Amino acid sequence: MSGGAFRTQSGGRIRRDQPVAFAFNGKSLSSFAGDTVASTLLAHGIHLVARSFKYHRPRGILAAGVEEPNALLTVGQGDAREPNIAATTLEAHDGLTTHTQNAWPSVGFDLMAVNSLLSPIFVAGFYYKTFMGPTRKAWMFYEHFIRRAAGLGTASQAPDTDRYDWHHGFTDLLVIGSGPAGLSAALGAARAGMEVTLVEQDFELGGSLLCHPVGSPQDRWLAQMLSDIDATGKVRILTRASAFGLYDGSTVGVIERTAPGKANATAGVPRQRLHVVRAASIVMACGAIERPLVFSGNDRPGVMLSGAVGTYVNRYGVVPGRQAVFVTNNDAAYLDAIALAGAGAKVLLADLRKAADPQLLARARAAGVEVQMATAVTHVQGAHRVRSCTLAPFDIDQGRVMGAGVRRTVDLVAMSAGWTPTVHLTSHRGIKPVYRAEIGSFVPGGFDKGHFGAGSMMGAQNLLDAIQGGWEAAREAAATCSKSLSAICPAAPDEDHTQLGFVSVGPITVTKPGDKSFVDFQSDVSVDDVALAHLEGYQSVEHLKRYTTLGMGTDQGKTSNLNGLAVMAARRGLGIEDVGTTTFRPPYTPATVGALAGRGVGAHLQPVRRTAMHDWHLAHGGAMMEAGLWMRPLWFNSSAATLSDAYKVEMAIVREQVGVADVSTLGKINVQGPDAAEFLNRVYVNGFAKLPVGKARYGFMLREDGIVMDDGTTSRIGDTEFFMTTTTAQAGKVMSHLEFLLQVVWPELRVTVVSVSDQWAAMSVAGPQTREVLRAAFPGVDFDNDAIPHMGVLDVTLTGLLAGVPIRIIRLTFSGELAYEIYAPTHYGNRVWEHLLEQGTPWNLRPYGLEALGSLRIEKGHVVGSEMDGRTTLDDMGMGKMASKIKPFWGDALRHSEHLARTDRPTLVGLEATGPDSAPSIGAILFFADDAIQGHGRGHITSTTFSKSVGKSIGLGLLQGGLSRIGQEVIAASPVQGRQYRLRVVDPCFLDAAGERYRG
Amino acid sequence: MVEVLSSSSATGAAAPHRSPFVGHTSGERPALNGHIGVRLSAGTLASVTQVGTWHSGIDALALALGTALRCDVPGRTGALVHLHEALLLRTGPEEFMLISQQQGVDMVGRLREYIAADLGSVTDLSHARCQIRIEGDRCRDTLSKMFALDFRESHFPLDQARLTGHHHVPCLLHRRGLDSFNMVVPSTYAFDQLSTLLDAAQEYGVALALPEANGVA
Repeated sequence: MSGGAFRTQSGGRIRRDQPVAFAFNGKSLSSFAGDTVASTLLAHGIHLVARSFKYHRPRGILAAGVEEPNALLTVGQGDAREPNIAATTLEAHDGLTTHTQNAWPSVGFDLMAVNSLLSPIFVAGFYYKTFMGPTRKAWMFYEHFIRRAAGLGTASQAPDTDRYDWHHGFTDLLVIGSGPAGLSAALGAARAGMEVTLVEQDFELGGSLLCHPVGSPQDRWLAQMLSDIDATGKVRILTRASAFGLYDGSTVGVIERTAPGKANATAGVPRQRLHVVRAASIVMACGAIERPLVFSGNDRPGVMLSGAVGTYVNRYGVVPGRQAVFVTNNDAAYLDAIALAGAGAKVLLADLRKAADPQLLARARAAGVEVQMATAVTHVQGAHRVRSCTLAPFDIDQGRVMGAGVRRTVDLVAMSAGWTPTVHLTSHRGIKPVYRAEIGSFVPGGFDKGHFGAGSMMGAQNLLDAIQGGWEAAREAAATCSKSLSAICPAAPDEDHTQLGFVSVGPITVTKPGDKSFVDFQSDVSVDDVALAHLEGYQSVEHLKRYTTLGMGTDQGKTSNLNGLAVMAARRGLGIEDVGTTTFRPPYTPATVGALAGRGVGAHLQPVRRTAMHDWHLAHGGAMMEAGLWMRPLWFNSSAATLSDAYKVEMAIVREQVGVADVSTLGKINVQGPDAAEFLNRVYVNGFAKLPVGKARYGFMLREDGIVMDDGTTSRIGDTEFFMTTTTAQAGKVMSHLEFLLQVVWPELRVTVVSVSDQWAAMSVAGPQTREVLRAAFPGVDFDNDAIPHMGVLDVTLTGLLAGVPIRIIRLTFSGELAYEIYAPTHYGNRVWEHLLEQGTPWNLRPYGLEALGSLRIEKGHVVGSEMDGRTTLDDMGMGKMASKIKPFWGDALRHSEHLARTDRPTLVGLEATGPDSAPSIGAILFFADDAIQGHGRGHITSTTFSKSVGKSIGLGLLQGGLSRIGQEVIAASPVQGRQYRLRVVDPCFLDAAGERYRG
Repeated sequence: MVEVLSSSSATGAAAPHRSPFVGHTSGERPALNGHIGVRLSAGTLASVTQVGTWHSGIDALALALGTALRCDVPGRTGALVHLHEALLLRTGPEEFMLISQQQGVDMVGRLREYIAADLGSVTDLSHARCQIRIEGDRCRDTLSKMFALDFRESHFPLDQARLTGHHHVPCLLHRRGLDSFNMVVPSTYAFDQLSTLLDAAQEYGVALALPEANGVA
């Protein structure tokens, strides 16, 4: 297996003894382990791999790393496909399936390329100007078609079957980047005794060192460094791991990709893992990215970055072209040209400068590279592949082409306009980069405490500077951890004195208006677009970015940003430092939503809270529903086949016989201390100071702003101990509220609060025959009115079958029937529940669910979260008379504020249907009979049900005028359902207003 | 080791209780390489008692608690002392948790003999908490999936406790060894927390033991 016709006979870091194959547009391509998809495509002579975003121009592979703007592929197929993956970072492996995207019917013959013909009118701002009329909503119509015509790949709408995970990591030092500076920093820090985590986005360590030939001094240095680092035993290495964002508290988001073929969702092995790394210190050695030159046709397939060409030759053993022209304004491209010539290609190097390092020139010429100084490439010809280019004399001082050009037949044009330090991560912290004119680049404008930079990211020009910079950064990082680095910095590789190539930006060699000279390849932004933006007044770089979309692609403008700024600066007659740069934001490289979600999907989306009787409910036909994090039975299919029937049956059981409901989800708080009664007296609106031991009391508590927070029942267990219950929904908030009051507002009170929600399972037995059931179940307990009256509390230890089980009995009602709440320690809860049902069989004791529970309380007019919705006051719910006038309580001051004391506020009423078609629906807006049906109305419906006891549909609502409107008809309008109907206002208590049932 | 309350009397229930972990199944699920990197065991606790006080009461409470348990109470949050068949952890500036393996002891009643109501609160949480033990060479990797805690020994030493949370569900972690932790979790979340752990540990290979036969003791 050759691995492609453009593969060298030997060399490279690929493992030629491990052939692999993958599919590209349905065709199998041979490759080797260690290849990327991009290197494989080039090895097979495939340069046309994409169509551009807007104009559908043919595009090829520009780069060899994460900066690639063009070669974006769709990986996988069908529901498992993932779009917009850079071929330059995608590892070749068996079973991989790739497709080109954004082209129809094919990337070679794309009908949408008609856009390119229309490109003179598809300039920056075209859409904004053209598709704004005739109405304001017109854009919504056009957008559908525009998005179909332009764009990248399309994602699947199907659930992702892969697995993702999270990992929280902590380290003394996080080193980002494994180039010479990063390796140096990692080794130095490890030798200083620090625990180091080293992350590298590539699948191989080495960064820029990987661009050098195997066996070169740089390669040998890399091997030695890796060996030394391994020997320290203190460096944790993550490859295929991109540090995509730097956040508060030295927290770094790192997404690690699992090696090809290793992910296995069934076995729990994730495809990607998000590492949330919290580092005591950070060394950023993020490297630099080569800039393209800007000339006509610089986007044609076969036009590549010079460094990428060198990388493909030296790392992958691939010859991207056999007749090549390199055009450069710096030294670094010489090495790439030499490498390509060494691989057998015919190479001409056009140096924009007047002179170059004589030694470098001699090396190039000795390698067979033809060098022309003061020469520019002005045009590239070709459509699907570069065919020729035009070379012309160039004066770098004037930035002008000085004469007629000469066309040269080529199949590859390699360009280098210098290098741009990767400053993204420091930008994430809001630190603006600063411009260094001598290297023509922005570098980090500073660092947060404990953060350091090293290598070409900081403008280091050569290996020696990078290595020493990394070592020095390690020394400084060690000092922040009270450690010191006394070891000597490793020596740089022999024979390498090449300057990386930081030079002034540009030049921009546009020969005539109308030529497509691209600044941003991915967003299809040309020099003309930037010029137009300038002409139309978008001179700020932030405005330029948004008007032209410069730098807004998935590549975040890694190759385009500085060239775009240079064009704008030139138009404005300013220096680049004066126009500044835009703000880089996370993620540095695209992050999958799957990785951000981790395992928190499906069954693990959120915690599930189960009562002690959960399994019983499931085993007995309980239809479970989420109630916050709890799972609760909504109804039981033993009652009836459908919810609409079952809850009515269950209501009837409670009204006529006896039922039992699982109310374990109530919040339960133990309040203890000598000042517990005083504390509760301040918390509740009504008095608790004189509540006798053995009695319970219903109460409301308010927020500081006077709005009702929650209601519940609190029992006095002893002189200094109370047992508070809260609503299920507000349990956590009430607990936090009580802790806040004790710690901040009344720290002098000798009180503790402890959540005992998990300690007690709870069940409410309700119905006329409740007492008979309880007497049978708990034979030693006296349930007479004298022993445990309404709102009485009794702690007993059971005998008989449940010998030794302590239970708490509170006689109170939610349904309006005679009822007792039975609290049993959680691990006994299921046993007590089963015991109750067994003993209650003679009275047909049956379970009832949440729907019946809620409906029973509506019949009684009891309020719940639907009414206490964070906007209502005590008076709104007709409970104002509960508030004490003689003692202060939390929220009392503001409940009398002007807004809350208004007399036209909607207040609680009962509502009943006036006819068979007027069943109220929750949320419907209430209007008076003579109102126009528009706006916010006079109130709304909060709760509804069908009442068998009343014989019609009923509900609760909040209505202006409240109980003063009893007997009147109101109109309920439901905009969602598109219906209006009439209801009659009634008292909210539909049943047994005197309370004879529950007092019986 | 310190004796926990010298004279214990069995007042606990005789009726069988049901473990929240019922529904999980004991057994092994090796990783792709056959390795078991995580071993879990889960069950109820015999006795869990929370002892607390208010801002001004900590000195008196510490004295009374130390007298009751015949030990020096842990001096700061996260510290703990081993007692005979029990563990006393300091879970807050004014809060302690006593986890005892002794069955049938009325711990609240016994502690109340030393800690009067004006000294502090004593609350039985025996049914409110369960324990999951996690061990194995990949247990820290598993825990790191759930908790934003630094599990390096330098930052989480042996025989220290940390109060943390997963999805805002509280969890008390006690480090028993380099690769051995006890997780004390709320009972109503316990089943789900064990599910989460099993899922998190799956890639490393996981074994589960449920000592309470069929979850019923």
